Formats: sequence, structure tokens, C-alpha cells
Amino acid sequence: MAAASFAKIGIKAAVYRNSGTYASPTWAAVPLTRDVQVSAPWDMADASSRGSRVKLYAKTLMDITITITLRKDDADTQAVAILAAAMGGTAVDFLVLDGLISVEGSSGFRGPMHVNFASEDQGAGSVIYTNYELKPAFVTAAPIKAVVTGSGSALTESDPGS
Amino acid sequence: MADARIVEVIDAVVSRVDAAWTGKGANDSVSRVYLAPLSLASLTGRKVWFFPVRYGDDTADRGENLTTYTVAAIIAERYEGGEAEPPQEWIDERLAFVEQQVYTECDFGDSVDFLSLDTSRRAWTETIDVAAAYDVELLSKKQVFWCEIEFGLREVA
Repeated sequence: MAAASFAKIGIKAAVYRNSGTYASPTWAAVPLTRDVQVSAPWDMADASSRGSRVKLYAKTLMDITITITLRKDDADTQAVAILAAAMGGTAVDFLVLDGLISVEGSSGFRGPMHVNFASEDQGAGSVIYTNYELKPAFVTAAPIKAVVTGSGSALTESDPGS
Repeated sequence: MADARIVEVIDAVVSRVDAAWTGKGANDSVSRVYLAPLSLASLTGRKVWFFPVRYGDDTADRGENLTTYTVAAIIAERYEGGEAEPPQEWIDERLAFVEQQVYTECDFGDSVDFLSLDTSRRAWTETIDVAAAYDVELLSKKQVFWCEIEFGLREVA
């Protein structure tokens, strides 16, 4: 069914963490997410030639960076797991969408990512939030995918650049 | 219908102040009210009245709101001694009561424990403002000690 035309709002976007396997994921929402920034620019290589006076480029590599801001909470399973991943060396399989997984047409990225502890504001008048930077990780047979949700929360995955 | 959240918050504050009040007399009380009594001439004992003022939500994260509750307190007591004016010691004692039994006891999350609203919710005090340490006119004309405090409480839920 074609999506109705409404503005997408950030508060309705969603981050999920996989507690299952890459091939058979179990997605659990990360409810303490506040802000998310998704960046996925392509590196461009010069592909110019004498055939044109216009500079030409070819896409080479997509440089994905996802920044998530989480409210810090010692009793929240997801927040604790993400902090542990930031301190450790294991990548985490995330699904980062611009809407709920249950909403058809939500899109984003999925795959194993390294978690970097970027910063944390512990100001005297603040509620503590932690900023994490997610970068794609190399994990055998578990590539990063661009995803779009279909009916029944099914994900259609594609390789960026294909 | 369930109580408004600000009523829940005030009732929790009243319980905390009541529990911490040492030397409470038979005519003393702490309670949630909406209107202060119009006649102070018959006021007996020390009264601590808590009022709801305002509340509002901001976004804490995608699953929670950061709710701010503004709660006001009035501490009132009529001088029932025999002197023409309340003595300084009498006023000093009321000022100390306000600071130690109301102001400090409502500094949740800092001077005292967080304010528990239920098993999974707690609030803390963000701001405390003593709008009037005592009302000069009520003290001089009615011999009533009258102090107003406003508290800004916050909760993430």
C-alpha cells in the first residue's frame, strides 16, 4: 500500500539491538534513545578524462557514522549492554530506522557496528546522557545493509552501491 | 478517575514533610490545599500548606518525558503570646523551622533522598525559591508569621 504523505518526525524514529544471530535476528527497541544522527556519504574518486571538460567522479566507499544519544540508566538492559559494548571490543548488530519497524516504509541501516563512547554531559543541572558513535564493523558473513521495512515488520535488505 | 500527577507529587511531599517534622504540636499540620483560609484571626497552631502551581512536559528521550512540577508551600502561624508584638526569638524559631523542616526536607535528591512516587518513579528538586521569608504586613498587623516557598520538582517517566 502506498504510504500516506505525512512529515516524519524524529521522536518516532527507532533504534533496535539484536539479541539473536545475524541470520535470525531478534530486535529489541532501545527506548532510552533521545537523539540520533545518521551520516552515510560516499567517498568519491576522480574519474575525469579528456572526453569531457566536466570533472567526473565515481562512488567508491560509503562512510557510515551513526551517533546515538542515550539517557544513562543502570537498570535498563539495552543501555547497560551498549555501554558494555563501548568498553569492550565486540561489535553490536543494530537496526537504525527513521520509523518503527512495524511501520511499512521505515528505512535505515542494519548490521554489526563498533560502539564508541564519544562523550557524556555530567553537568550539575543535567540529566546524564551518553553520546555514542557507531561505525560499521567487519564481521564475517554479516555485512552492513540498507533496509526498508515491509508488512509484518519484514526487512528488505540491500547492499549500498549495488 | 486517577489523581492528577501533580496531586500525586504533592501528596508524596506532604507525607515526607509530615514524617520528618519533629516536635509537631496538637494543632500543627501539613496538608495539600487549594485555597488558604481567608480568616487568619482564628488560626491556631503551625500550618504548612502545599499547593499545585503548574506542570509541563519536555522530551527526555523517545520513550520518556521530563516532567516539571511547580509546587508552592505556605507556612503560617499566628502569635498567641501575650506581648504586643511577636518577639524576635519567636520569629527566629519559625524561620529555622521553615529552613530545616520544609526547605531542606524538600530538597529531594540532594539534601534528602529522592521523592518516591511509586516503585518505578522518583522525582528530584531542581529549584527552591523562598519568595518571602516572612510577610511584613501580616506580621505587623495580624501577628501572623507567613512564609512562601516555591519548589520546582522534576521526574523522568
